[in-house]
Amino acid sequence: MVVIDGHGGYVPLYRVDRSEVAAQHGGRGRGESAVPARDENHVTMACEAADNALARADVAGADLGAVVTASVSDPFAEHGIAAHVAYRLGATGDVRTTDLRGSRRAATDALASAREFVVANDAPALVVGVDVLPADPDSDDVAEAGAGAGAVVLRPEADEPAADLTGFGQATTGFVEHHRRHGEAAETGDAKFEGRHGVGEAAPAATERALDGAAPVKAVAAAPSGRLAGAALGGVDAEQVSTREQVGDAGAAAALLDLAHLLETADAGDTAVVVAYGAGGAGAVALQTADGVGTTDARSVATYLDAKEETTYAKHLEYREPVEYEGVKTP
Amino acid sequence: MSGPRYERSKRQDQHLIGFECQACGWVSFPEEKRTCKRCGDAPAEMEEVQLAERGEIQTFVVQQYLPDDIETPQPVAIVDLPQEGEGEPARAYGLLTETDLEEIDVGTEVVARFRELFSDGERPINSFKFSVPREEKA
Repeated sequence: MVVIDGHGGYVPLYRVDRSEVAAQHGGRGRGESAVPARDENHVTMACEAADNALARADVAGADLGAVVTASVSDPFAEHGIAAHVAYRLGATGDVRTTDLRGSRRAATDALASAREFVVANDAPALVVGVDVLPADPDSDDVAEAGAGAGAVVLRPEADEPAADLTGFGQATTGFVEHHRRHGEAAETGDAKFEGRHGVGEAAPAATERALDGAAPVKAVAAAPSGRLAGAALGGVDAEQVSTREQVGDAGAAAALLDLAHLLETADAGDTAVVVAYGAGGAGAVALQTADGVGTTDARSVATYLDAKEETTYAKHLEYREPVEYEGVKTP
Repeated sequence: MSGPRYERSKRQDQHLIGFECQACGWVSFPEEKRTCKRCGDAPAEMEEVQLAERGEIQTFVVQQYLPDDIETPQPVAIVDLPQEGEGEPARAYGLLTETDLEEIDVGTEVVARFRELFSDGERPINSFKFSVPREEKA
């Protein structure tokens, strides 16, 4: 058995009111989207979430055997996130680092990969999801472009774990409708077509394999839109835990941020499932919460959601872009 | 050691490592000084110490006139960071982030925040800034 022994999230301070975006961009807006500060990037945000998860696990960074990250918005083709998070945490030397990307399934793939590492090596592994979705004023997604990070520490066993990992499932279909080039707005295609042949074929199959007959009472889902996230849980009669209304689209990180939020708010003994749907199929992870749930020892996702400052649509766009002064990039 | 300064001082900048003079207890951060700036011991015997990620503003200035692309006002503070163990605090110089001027004063407690300090070309260089604790924004 592999357990989640620590969980933590991170949401940037700034928020844009989607109705303000709608006022300038057209359409309707409801809720808020998180805006990273100008001096935040994928590595710094991942470290904030990781610090919270490690604090709850009472695991030193130097004791980690692996760091696995998931992101659909890492701006670099070569640079990575995992190794830099590992260095900051003190996990250097004989430490495996893995950067998973290209699909929101990266979140559940990261959990599966870390679990296999823990089983094979009897050492703790850190899983972090982090994303800053691009805000393109020419795109319909501009208001929902969000940012956030979530992390969990997996161990072979623990005195008071937050959850036991009970099942993993995946469904690879090769179906791609929603897709996006680096830094550009997504091509979303036909939502009805994606609902039927994309999420409808992949998510229930992956979920069924992970749950193996268990009935979840709580669930989280990462998908390119709120509608698709709801569809990803279509066959599950469970309360959906989601920060999308306050954070916006947090990419693959949404699965781990919402998982942290779930583990902070759930009761011990709940069955829960994490579903991630994206390009190529879906992944699912089933878990049983335990006595280590709650908000002690670290800042909670609820604190990050409450402690916020409103910012403008202009900052929503500007803060995602590096600024140059006389040829020198400044944060 | 050759290479850019941000690579040479990466351990200090990302792990908040200070250097304590074994003659007088003064803590150097982020550089490991060869001569103790307080007692003048040379060559100084310096021992690594771990600094806490929470400290107290000793003084600060507010930069109002900066190049257009840098947001102002930009507070810059001298912060005393205690050691994790026994010993004197280190006196660190750092930028404040996500902090309004009315939130800070001499004696205000601030936390270290791992942030992008600048970029080397496209590559972000991350280190510590300071801010008031996030929960105070609620």
